[in-house]
Amino acid sequence: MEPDRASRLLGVALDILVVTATVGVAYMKVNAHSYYRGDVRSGQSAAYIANFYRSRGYSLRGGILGVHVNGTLINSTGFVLDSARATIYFSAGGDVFLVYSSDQKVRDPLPQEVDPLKLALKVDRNVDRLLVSLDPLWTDGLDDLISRVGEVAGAVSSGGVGYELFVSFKLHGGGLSEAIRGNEVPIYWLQSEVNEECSGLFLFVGSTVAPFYLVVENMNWKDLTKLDSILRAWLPADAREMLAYDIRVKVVFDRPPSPGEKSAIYGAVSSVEGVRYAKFMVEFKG
Amino acid sequence: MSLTWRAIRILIKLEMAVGRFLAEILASVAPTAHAREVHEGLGISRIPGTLRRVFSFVNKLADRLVEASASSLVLRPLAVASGRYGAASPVLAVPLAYALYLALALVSPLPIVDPALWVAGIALWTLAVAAYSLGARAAISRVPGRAVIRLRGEGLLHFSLPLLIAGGVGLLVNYLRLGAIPLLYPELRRHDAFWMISYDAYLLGLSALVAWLSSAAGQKGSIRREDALIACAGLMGISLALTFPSGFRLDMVVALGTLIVAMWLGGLIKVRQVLAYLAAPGLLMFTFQKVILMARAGLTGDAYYVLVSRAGFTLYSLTLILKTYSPWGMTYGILLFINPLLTMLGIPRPLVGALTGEAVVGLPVAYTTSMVGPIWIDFGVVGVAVVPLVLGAIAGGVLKLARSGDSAAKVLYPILLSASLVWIESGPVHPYLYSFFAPALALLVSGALRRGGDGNLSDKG
Repeated sequence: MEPDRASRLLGVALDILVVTATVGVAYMKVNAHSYYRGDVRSGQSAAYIANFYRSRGYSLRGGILGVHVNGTLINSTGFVLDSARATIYFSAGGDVFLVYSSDQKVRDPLPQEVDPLKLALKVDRNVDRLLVSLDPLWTDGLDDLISRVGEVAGAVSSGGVGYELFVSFKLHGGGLSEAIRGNEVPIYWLQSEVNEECSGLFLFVGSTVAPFYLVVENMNWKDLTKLDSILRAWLPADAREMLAYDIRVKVVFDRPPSPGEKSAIYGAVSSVEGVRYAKFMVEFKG
Repeated sequence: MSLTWRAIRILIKLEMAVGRFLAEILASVAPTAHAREVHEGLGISRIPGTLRRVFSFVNKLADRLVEASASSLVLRPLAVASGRYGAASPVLAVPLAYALYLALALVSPLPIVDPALWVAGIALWTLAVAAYSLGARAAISRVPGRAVIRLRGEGLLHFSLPLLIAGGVGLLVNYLRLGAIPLLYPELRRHDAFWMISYDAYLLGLSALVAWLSSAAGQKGSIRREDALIACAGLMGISLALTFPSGFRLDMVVALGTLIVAMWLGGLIKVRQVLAYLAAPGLLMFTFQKVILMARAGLTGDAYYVLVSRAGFTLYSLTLILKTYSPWGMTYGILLFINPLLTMLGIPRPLVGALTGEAVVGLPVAYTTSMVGPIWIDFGVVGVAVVPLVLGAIAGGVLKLARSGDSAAKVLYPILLSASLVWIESGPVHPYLYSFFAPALALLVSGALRRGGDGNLSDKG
C-alpha cells in the first residue's frame, strides 16, 4: 500500500530528526571539553567531578568568575591544584583559591574562599607532577624552610621545564604553643591576615596531642617570604623556633617533561639534602 | 536418553507438581487470584475512560510514527528489518541499544587520550555487536522452527509459581541478611551465591509466568488481554520493588527487561508501545538509582552527568584495556567461563574486575569496559568476533524456537536478550546470566538432533 501524504511528511520529519540528532552528537563530541560549567550553587558537585577525573589521571584547567571573601571580583584562568570531598584548590594568577560548596551546612573558616558565579573545568593534558617529601627540620622563623624549598626549586629548574611550586607543611613549637596559649598572639587575626596576603590556606589548629600548631596547604612558594615576615611581625622571638614537619612540595610543570628531563630533575632533586623521596605522579596516583 | 536428562526431567516434573499445588491453593484460598477475577481483585473493573483515551491516542501516534518510518530514507532499513525479524529480536535490539549507548559515550565530555585506540575501541565494539547480530540473523534463518518442549494448558503457570515465589522470597531474605537496603548503604552492595540463585529463580519464574499470561490471554474463555496487562503491571511493580533497592542497575534492568521482552514475545505489547510508555520512566529510574547511591556515598552529581559519564567512561576504559593487554588474549576462557567452577573448587583464579581495574585506574576495582573489554583480555581479537557471534546465534536460535511455540525457548529468550543488552556495556561477565545460555544451547542441539525424529516432549497437563 502506498503511504499517504501525511506518512510521507512524517517520514521526512523523522529523517530530519535523525540527522539533527546525529549532527548534535557530533557537535557535542567536538565541543565536549568542559567537565563542569555553570553557576556553582553547589561547589561540591564541581569538587566531586574534579575528584573523579583527577583520580583517573586527568589534569583540569579552567576559569573562575566569582567573588572573593574580601568582596573583590575574581576572574581568572588557571588549574585545579588539588581537590577534596567538597573543596577545590584552584590556582590562578599566582594565587590559590578555595572553591567549595556554598550550600554546605558547616562552613570551615577558609578565608581564601571564593563563592563562584561561574566555574568551568576542562581537561588539559595527562600531566606529570612531581611530589617531593622533605624531612622535618627546625627552622628559625621560616628561614631554614625557605632555604630548603629554594634548593628544591633550583634543582627542578635544572630540568629546563617551566613550573609552579606549591608547599604544604605544619609548624609546631613549645614557644609557639605557649605564646598562643598565653594570648600573646592574636591567632585568629593572624590567620585572617596571612590568608589575605598569601596564596593557599593557612590554618591554626588546636589539638590535645599537639596543643597548637599551624598548617600551610598549597601555598605558592614565592609567598613563603611574605608569610615569614608576617609571622616575624606577630610571633614573639622565643616562639619563632619551630619544627616544620610533614613538608610536601608539589611541582606542577608547564608541559609534561620528557623522559630525559624527568631523569635530570629526579637526579637533581634527590641529591638535595633532606629530601626524603621524590616521585613523578599523575594527579592522585602515587 | 541420558541419565542427566532423565534427572532434570524428574526435577522439573516435581517442581511443576509443587506449582500445580500452589496454583490450587491460590485458587481456593484467594479466589481473586484466579485469572478471570484479577481485575475484580485489584478493584479495577475497567480502565478509566480518560486513561483509555490517552492510551488510545499514544498507541495511534506510535503506530503512525512506525508507518512513517517506512517512508523515511534513514529509518526504512530498520523498518524492513523490524518487519522481518521483530524489533525485539537480537538482530535489531542489540545493535540499536548499542547505537544509543555509543551516542551517549560520544556526547560524554571524557577526553580522547589516544585517538588511535579510541577509534580501535569503537571499531572493535561495533565489530562485536555486528557479530552478535549476524549470528542471530544466521540462526533465525537456519534453525528449524520446530518446538522441542511444549507445555500445554497451565504447564507454564505451574512451572513458574514455585520459582517466582522462591526467588522473590530469596531476594527479600537477602535484604534481611544484609540488615539494610544496599541502595541506602552502598558499602553493603554485593552479589553472593544466595542472591544469584534467588535472582535466577525469580527471572525464570517471571519469564514463565508472563509467557503463560500471554498465551492464556490469547485463548477464548481464558484471561482477557486487559487483565493480563494489569497482571504484568503488577509483576513490574513487584520486580521493581525487589530489585531497585539492591543498588545495582543491572538487577533492575535485567528483571524488567525479561518481563517486557516476555510480553513482547507473547504479543501483549509492541516495542513501539514500550518506547512510548516506558522509555522515559525507565531512563529516570536507571539514572536516579545511581544518583541516590552516589548521594548516600556522600557524593553529588547531576543526572545528566551520571547518564553520560558511565557510557563515556566505558569507552575510555576500553581504550586502556586495548593498550594494556595483548591482542591475542591471555586466559583463554578461564577468566570468563571457567571462573565459577574454579571458585566452587576453591582454586585461585583471575578476576575480571581486578584485571580491568588495574588497567583503568591502577587499582583492582571492577570497571565496565564494554562488550569487548573482558573478551579482549580473555580471548583477544579473535574472541571479540567469535564470542558475540556464538551468543547471538544462541539467542537467535532460541527466538526462532520460541516463535514455533517451544515453551522452554519462550521462557529463556527474554532472559537471553536482557542479558545481551546489559553486556553491551559490561561484556559477558555475569555467570548467573550467561549460565542461561547453556540450557539454551542444549535446547538448540536437542532440536537439531530431533530434526529427523518424531518430535516433541510434551506435558499433557
